Amino acid sequence: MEDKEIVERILAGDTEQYTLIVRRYQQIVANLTYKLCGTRLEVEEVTQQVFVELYMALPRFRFDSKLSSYIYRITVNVVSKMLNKSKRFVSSDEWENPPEQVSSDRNAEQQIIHNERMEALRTAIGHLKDEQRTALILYTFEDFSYNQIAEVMQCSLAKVESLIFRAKKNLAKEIKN
Amino acid sequence: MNIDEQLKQLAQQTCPKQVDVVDSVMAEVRKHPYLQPAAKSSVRKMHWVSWASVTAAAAAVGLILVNSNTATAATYNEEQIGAMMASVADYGYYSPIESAAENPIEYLYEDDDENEY
Repeated sequence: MEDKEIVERILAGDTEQYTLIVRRYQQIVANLTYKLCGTRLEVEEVTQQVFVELYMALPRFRFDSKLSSYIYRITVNVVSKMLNKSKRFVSSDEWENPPEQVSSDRNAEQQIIHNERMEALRTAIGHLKDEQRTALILYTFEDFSYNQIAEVMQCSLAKVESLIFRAKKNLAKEIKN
Repeated sequence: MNIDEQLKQLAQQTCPKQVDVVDSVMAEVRKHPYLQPAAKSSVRKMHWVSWASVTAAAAAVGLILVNSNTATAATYNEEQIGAMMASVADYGYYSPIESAAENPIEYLYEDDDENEY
């Protein structure tokens, strides 16, 4: 069933249909949340919040854009609010290390260097301004186009370009230091 | 290694956990029945009630104003009207000062008359 049809049924009073939307998009929201927050600790809580807010906002959604874009936008907003509330982004110390992926073509020493490099990069991402980090993560980790990012972040294409450019520049500068 | 390559490697390393929030979300959703048709119709009814109250209040105020104007008009007796007419004959316009002693209410129109000067 198409998203639009499901939403129409929900708005007509069949709220149980909302389970279809949640099942369809919950992992996408969780993945983005994890990348934006840098920790898995709050992924579940934020994902739940996103879907509650989406439900509340459904009567205002007119399908001018894809529902997935709308969900991304809500996710970015919820994460942003959460980070502002807690007055922090996940610092390098809090960014959980994913399971180490030991590459067969690296020796132990190279692996340590690689891990340190990734750790430095995470730290630098954590130090970026919220908007720069969001744009960079959507572009690099989610493979969004500039247009999609502009739609999700509700800003101009030029601003997206600028945010990503400055984000990369700041990352390079911090890693170099 | 440039920054783009490093970011690509980091992206490959991120392995978020699987989540299942269906039950918890639906539990929250069921607490907000405002989307259900019954709830919608009650909201509409409330709007109608509000509009009806406003309309009734406006009508009541209008009625009071009409009545008060009627009452004011009724206070002019033939003598007062005659005095007004005489004033117009004497001065070429109605002078409320002349008739103020007889009808202090006319002072209410003083400003309007001044504007005519």
